Amino acid sequence: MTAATLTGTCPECETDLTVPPMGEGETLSCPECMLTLRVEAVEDGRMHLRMVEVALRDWGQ
Amino acid sequence: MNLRVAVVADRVSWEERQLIAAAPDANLELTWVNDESLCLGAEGAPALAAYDAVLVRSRSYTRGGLIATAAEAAGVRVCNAAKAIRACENKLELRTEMHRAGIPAADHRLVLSRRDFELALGQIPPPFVLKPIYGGMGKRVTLVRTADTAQSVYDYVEDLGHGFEQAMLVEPFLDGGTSIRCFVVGREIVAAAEFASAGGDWRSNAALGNQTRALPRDPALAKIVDDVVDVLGPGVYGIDLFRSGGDLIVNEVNHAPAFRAVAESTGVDVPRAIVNHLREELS
Repeated sequence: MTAATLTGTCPECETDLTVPPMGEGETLSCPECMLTLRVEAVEDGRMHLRMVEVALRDWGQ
Repeated sequence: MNLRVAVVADRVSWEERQLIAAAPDANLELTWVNDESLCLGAEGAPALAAYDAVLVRSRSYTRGGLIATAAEAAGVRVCNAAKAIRACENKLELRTEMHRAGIPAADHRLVLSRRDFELALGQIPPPFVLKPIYGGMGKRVTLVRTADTAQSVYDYVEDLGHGFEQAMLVEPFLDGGTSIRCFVVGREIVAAAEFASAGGDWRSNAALGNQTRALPRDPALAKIVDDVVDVLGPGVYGIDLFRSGGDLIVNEVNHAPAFRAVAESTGVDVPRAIVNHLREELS
């Protein structure tokens, strides 16, 4: 069963986040510090988040 | 039982989300695998051992070809093939392959130094386009309209470019504000659209949020795309072309193409076409 929302904490500013269901690898922007965060794992409705670059320098495809 | 396919990318964006959602209808299970943590090279590619195949969706113009090469060497089935990805990542390599096969591609000069640049200016006068050999999404592609500004533009390449970023091409300015994107799956064009620059930017690129319109079936377009696929092999490609003097000219081929704009402008279910192709390849 899929949770209606997921929770997590921004690893940079420690803001508590509640978002619609997301999968591993998807990204979101922290509304407080604006960093781009990637969902590394989801366990029991709680996301483990990691800061990533908005766009990598060698993106080109 | 569903076959398992690793979607190798640094993150899941709109396109990957659509592919993952469409996969069960083709009896596939697509799973995101971080392209930053594969550590390929070991026999059997342990990081990919749980998968029946790999779909390379890295946006990086360095990672895709390397990952595909190492995965294939370990016996993993890869889409697109490493050879095709390496050709797509390198604009000079792609142009060379096209010329070798007799497929119209843009005239160009390889520029590795200011002396090369000066010689190129003598052979391809303004307006011309200066573009990096590695790269895409229209980034750093510069339209030089007059010889007055050419040397100043090159100052930035020389001063700020690092290593292979100084490897450039000079090409005649051809596109006239529009370009054609053909989305190919297997050997077939599943969607074709024309991109027009949005007014504030001369570049007409799918990644730059330009205006789009669906294109009807065109035998000339089908022929040149078929020729390109003959060279690269069947796969999933975004083939970008220009019209010049009534002829079609291949500009770029993207090996992990975005498809949101072309899907929305044509109404084609691109994710379904891709997962069905993967299923056929694995059967």
